[in-house]
This record gives sequence, structure tokens and C-alpha cells, in this order.
Amino acid sequence: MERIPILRMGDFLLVTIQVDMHDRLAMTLQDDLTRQIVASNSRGVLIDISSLEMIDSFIGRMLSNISLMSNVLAAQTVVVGMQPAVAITLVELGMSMPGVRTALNVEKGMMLLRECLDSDDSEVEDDAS
Amino acid sequence: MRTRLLHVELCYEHDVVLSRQRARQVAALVGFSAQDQVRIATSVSEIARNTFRYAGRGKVEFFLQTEPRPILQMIFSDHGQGIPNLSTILAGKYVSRSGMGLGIVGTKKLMDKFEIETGPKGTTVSMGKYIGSELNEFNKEFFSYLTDELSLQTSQEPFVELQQQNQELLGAFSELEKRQNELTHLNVELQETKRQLNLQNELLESRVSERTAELKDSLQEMEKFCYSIAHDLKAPLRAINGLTMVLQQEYAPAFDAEGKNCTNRIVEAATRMHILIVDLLDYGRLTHMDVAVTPISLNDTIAKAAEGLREVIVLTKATIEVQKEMPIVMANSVLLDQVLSNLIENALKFVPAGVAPFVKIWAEERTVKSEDGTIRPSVRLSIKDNGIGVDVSYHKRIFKVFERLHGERSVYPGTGIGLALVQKAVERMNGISGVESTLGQGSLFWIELPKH
Repeated sequence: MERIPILRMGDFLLVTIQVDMHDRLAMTLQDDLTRQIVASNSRGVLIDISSLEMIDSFIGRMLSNISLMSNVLAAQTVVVGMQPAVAITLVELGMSMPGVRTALNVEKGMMLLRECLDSDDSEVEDDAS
Repeated sequence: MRTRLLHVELCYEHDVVLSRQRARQVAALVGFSAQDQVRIATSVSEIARNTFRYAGRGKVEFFLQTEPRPILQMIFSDHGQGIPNLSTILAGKYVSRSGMGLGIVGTKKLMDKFEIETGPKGTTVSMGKYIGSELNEFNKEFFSYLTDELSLQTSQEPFVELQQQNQELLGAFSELEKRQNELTHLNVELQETKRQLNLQNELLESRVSERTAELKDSLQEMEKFCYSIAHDLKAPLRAINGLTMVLQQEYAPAFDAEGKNCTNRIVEAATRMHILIVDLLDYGRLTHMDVAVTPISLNDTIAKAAEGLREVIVLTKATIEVQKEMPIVMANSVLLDQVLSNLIENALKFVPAGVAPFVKIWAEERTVKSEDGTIRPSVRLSIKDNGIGVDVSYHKRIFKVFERLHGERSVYPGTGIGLALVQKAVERMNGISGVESTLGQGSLFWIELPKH
């Protein structure tokens, strides 16, 4: 069965979407990702969509869902590499993606994830003290 | 003029993807900017999804209209049951926070023209985007170029197929990697288990050796205790002996026959007890004395032991046949003397009434495999008699302290320590001892000592 590969990098999961996903594939990715977050105890998810030339409401909603679900599972999601034209179209479409953090590229996305982790950890420490 | 460029049937989920890809191609070919290409592809994706999702199947057609103003038109049609709450959707009241129901309203915003007709017999969506007129000259050449390009794109499908396969391979690879990781993980766990087992094993072994040492200690304690009791018993016994002798000598006239009998029996019992204690002390001493071994002649020791038993030998008319020039063994002279005296005395003692004892003594050289695996030469000395023999079931018991096969008042007097002493003494001299015998057919006792 067709699947988007999910790579594990330490505490994070890395997903590079390189195909134009049909809806079921997008749903499968959503399921796989949430399962993988739990299975590998991941604290962050980085989704690289730089290859996506178009995001419609369904894929947008899927990205948003992944962010919300991962949040519930104590993981942060950062979507990176959105093409400018895609971003503009999303806004024009009236699509807001609540809970989705974005970064320009993978490198910045990783930094953002690490920062989120660090601030989470320090909050935990603060709570403990 | 309106020209139909291509159409895409929307029958399967993949067709939604195909329709938006085609939309993008067409948009690029007719000269839309990258941004507009995305807008058009997104719009087509939204409506194609609706068509497929709600009507089950349908189609999208792409038209290029050049008059009055150039426009790319996309017309979706299906034979579904129509959209029941279209007005609510179009009013934008259907839009949920997550974007559900956004499709039609969002698409309307992205397009320049948007019309929708819906009824119980189906839905038709017609939408269009104006093309900047300066972009292209829509002449005959342009249209032939357009059709060529679009058919060319179709023939590139195998490449897309390949790309897809590549994706699947990537998926399989990641799956494989996962499996391998799991295996590695399992392996690590296995090794950890093995390590723990080894650790447990070591722990157990050390515990066993600890316990063994403790047991040895307590056994030694016990033996020491026995020895000291035997030693302490000697003094009161001496008093009993002395006082009874005073009674016999000084007060003999005051006793009648019964009284005299009693005092005699007291003396006898005390004497037996004395012998017992001496034997016990000998045995006890064996367990904690230092045993130094030196080369010793078996012939000499046997001669010495026989000399000590001369009275018995003469009395019982016994014959002792000893092999000449037996090998020299490593032993302790005192202990070996004691061992041989005991064994020969037994051989002389346990014979049926009226039978003259016949004892045969000989030695043979053997090899013994010691605990560390080395093989060393040894000498087995056998003492065979024509006595009453020992039943096989008693062969082990007779080497224990106070084990007597014959009752207290039997015709064979003794303390029951003799053979225990033999075994212990031989053991202390790094040897072994044993018996081969059948009841009524004589006995063969043997001891095996290291050869010099």
C-alpha cells in the first residue's frame, strides 16, 4: 500500500511529502503519524511540504489536524517549506490553520522544534520547583 | 470561440489528483502566472473532490474561450443527488473553524467566474479565470501547440508511475529499516538477558561456595565439640573407675554375691566406656590434626601391626599371608599403623565360631584421576579374610561412626568406630577406602594411597 515515509530523527519525526497526495493517502499519513508519535515517544514532528505545489482545504485541514492531535500527544508540529504561491492561495481560500507552526525551511523548523522543547522542559522544571 | 482542451473523468480517488495536476498543466500552458496556476489547481481540486465525494462520479472539462475576454473555463458535471443546503454553504455559514465546508466558498474567491446549478438530477459547476490578454496570441499555432503539449504530458505517465514506485520503495525501505531496528533492539535485549543470567549464575555459584564453606565450618565446630565432650567425659569416668576399685578392694567383705556382681559389672561397663572414649578421641583428633605424609613401607607397617596383635593371632590360630616387597606409599606412619591394625583386627575378629582366621594381604599398582584431572599413580592394598562377610546393603553404613551390624551383646565386641576411623584416616592421607564382600563369603577391605 502506498505510504508517505516517516523518518525518525532522535526525538523528532521527519516527514517529507514528495507526492501529490490523494485524500486517502493524506488520511493514512495522519493516522501513521499519530501512531508513530505514540510508538516512538516523539516530541516533535517536522513536515516538509516544499515539494507540494498545491494545498487545498482538505490537505490544509489534514496538516491542521496533525498539529492539533500531536499537541494532544505532547508533541509539537512544525510545517516547513511552504511555497509562497501556496501560502497566498490558502489565505485567499479563507483557510486558517489553527495550531500549525510554520518555518521557512527544515533547518529553521528544527530550531523551532528544539526551542519549543527547551521551553517545555524549563516549564516542567519551573513547575517542579 | 470556445475550445475544449481536455477532460478528466472523476471515478476514483486518484482522479481528483489527476484533475488538479492537469489543471495546473493547462494553466501553465495557456500562460497563467505561477500564483494563478496554484489558484486554479486548488480550485479544481476542491470542486473535483466534492464531485467525487458527494456524487460518486462525474467529470471535469477544460475550455479555453478567447472572446470577448480570454478565459480558462472548467465545467464539472455529475448525476448525483444535488447539494441540499447550497444557499447556506454559499452564504458561508457552513464554514467550520477547521475548514470543513470551505471548498465551494473558497473556490468562489479564487476564481473570477463561478456558477453552480444543483438539483435532484445532478450538479454542474462552471468556473473560470481570466487570462491576461497580453500573455498569448490565441492563434491556430497556439492551439496545435497546446494539444501537442497536453498529449505529450499524457505520454509521460510512465515517469509518474516510476516516481510513484520510487515512493513505494522508499516506504518499503523505511519499513525494512524499522524491522531491522526492532531486530537490533531484540538482540540488545537478548544480550542483556544473557548478561543477567550470567550474573545470576555467578551469584548462585558464589552463594553455593559460601554455604559450603559455612557448612564445613559448622561441621568442624561439631567435630571439635564432640572431641571436647569425649575429652571431658574421661575425668568422671576415671573417678567411677577408681571409686569402684576402692569398693571392690576395701569393701569386698561387706558385699554379698549380688553386690559383688554389680560392682564387677560397673567396672566392665566403665572399661568399655573408656575404650569408646579413647576411640572417639582418636577419631576426633583425626579431623583436626595435621597429617604429614612421608614415604612408608607397607611391609614394615603390616609387620608392626601384626606384632601388636600377636596375642590374638596365637589365640585364634590365625594365618596371615602377606605379599613380599610391596610398593612404598605416601602416608602418615601413625595413621597407617592405626588403619592396618584396625583392618587386620577386624579380619581376625569377624570369623564364624570355631574357624581359624585366614588373612591374605597384597598390593597392586593403579592410577587415580584426581579432581584437577591429572592422573597419578597409587597403590591399592587389599586385606581379604575368610570371615562372616558383610551384606552388600551395609557396605556404606559400616564406615559410619557407631554403626555396628552386630548388637551390643554379640559375640563380636567393639565400639563401632574402627571402620569410621579407617575411612577418615585414609581420607586425610589423600587416599580412598572400600569394601567388597558378600554375606557369608568373607570380606575384602581395601585402601588406596598415593604411590611414592
